[in-house]
Amino acid sequence: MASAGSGDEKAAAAAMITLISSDNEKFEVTEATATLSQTIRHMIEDGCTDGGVPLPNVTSKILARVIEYCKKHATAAAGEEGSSSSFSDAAFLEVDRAFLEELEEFDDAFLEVDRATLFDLILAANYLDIKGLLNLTCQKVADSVKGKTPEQIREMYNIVNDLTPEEEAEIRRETQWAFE
Amino acid sequence: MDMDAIPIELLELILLFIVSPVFLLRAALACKQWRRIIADADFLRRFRCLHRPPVAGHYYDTKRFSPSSPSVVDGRYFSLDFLRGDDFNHGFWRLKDSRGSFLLLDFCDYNEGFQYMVICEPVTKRFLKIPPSTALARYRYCNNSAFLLDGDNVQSGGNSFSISRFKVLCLLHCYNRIRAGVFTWGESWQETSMESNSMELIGLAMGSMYWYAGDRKVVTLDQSSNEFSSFLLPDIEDWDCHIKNHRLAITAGRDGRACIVVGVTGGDMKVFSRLPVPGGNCEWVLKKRMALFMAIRSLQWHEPWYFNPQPISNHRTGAVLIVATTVSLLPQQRTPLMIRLDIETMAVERMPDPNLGTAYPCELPWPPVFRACTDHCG
Repeated sequence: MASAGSGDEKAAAAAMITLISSDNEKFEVTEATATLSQTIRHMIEDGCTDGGVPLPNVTSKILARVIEYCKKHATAAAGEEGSSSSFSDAAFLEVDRAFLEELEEFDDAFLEVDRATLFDLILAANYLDIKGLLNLTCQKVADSVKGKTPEQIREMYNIVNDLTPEEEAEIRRETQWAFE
Repeated sequence: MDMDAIPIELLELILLFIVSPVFLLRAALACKQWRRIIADADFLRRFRCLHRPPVAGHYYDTKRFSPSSPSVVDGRYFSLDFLRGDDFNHGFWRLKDSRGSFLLLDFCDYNEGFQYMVICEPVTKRFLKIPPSTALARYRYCNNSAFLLDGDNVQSGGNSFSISRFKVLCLLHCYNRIRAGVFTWGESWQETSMESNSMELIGLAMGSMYWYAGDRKVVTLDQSSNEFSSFLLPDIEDWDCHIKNHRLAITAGRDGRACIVVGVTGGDMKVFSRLPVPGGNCEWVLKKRMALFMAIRSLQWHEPWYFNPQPISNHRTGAVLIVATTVSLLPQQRTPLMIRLDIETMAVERMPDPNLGTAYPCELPWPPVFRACTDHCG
């Protein structure tokens, strides 16, 4: 019993990866969590993770949030693999549904950040190639223009209007139905 | 942090995730860079793959438009008053079909009968007149049904005048015969040889329309070749009885095969698929049986129920349109309700109230016009 336990521990310890943020903070994560990032997955496959993975484009504040996301979704992915193998009856579907709802709630809470953090998360998700996180954060920005006028969109994102008043009037005339 | 910090490919991804063409058009007025990204033909094609343009509302006839709730575009953009011409004083318009953001109407003179058809896009007020075919002109008092079908160049995106993307199928019911004509833009009417004394529309699947013509015979029209063909269903069901009860429908399965769905008393549905059988042929065989009752139990419905194939713009791959009756203690308060049921996922979507008449859905225009300030932009 004792030897089996230590064996498991060893396997788990071997599967730990160290991530180093731009401000030199170290984060220990499991391989399952880290490989949600395709960038890190490729580094692991190439065997270049000894001594930690430096991530010069990601600050510790953002990396901590990214890891939080990856931990939650890595568990979700593991759960999915486990349940889809042999069980598909109603009870298991109910469990799956509850789990998905919980994940959705997590994502919603995760996105409750200020705009600067949201943009940093987009850039980090892109750099680390974490598709789920990239889609989630980009969708959040896309949803923010819902029901807004062009003026409100510009104001929200500090966009300089480089259209002349004539051009703007012409565009509005072209698809008037979208602006009233 | 500003949008400037976001690289262009990520900005493109963000704009792709905008949920509605209305908000996309507003975003395309934010600045030249955004407009350039959005007006790109490839971007618009990818956007369309992600989001089907929303249904802005339903037409019950040429004067009754009911906007979707919450409304996406001001209802007055859907007025058909722009079609009133000099003709209007001595005739009337009939709504025949809808597809995407377009309507198909025909104009009837009080004295002279059927005159011509029109394809129009209410929001942009664009319309094209279609002259009648020889047969339509000759049998102008006969009952006709007409359908707006996707044309051959439907995939071509960009800003082309999209009315020409369509074809019109006209079925003329006269003297116990049905004549068919297909109008293709740039060509004219092509009268086809399909003749039958009864044809009940049962649905769309894999680019073909299907009718049941009685005695196990199914007639199909291939929308790309404009050719009619027919086949016989095997003698394993009382198909004539199913069609009499309006409980025979066809749809496309996600496996790329047509599925025939029949309804049996008690609320069960049987799904038949054309599968290979020993000997190298394909045969219609029972694929599954499912309980409609389970799928829509939350809707408090009961018998009678039936399939409702019209208008064809309501059809979606893998789904059937069902009208059932709501439960009420008072018989006079039992009213029909319409749903679209996905026969694979059993997902249910509520459709407009069938008590108000046939509702023709009208989507927002797609692709939107992007002429102003795109080519010469920055």
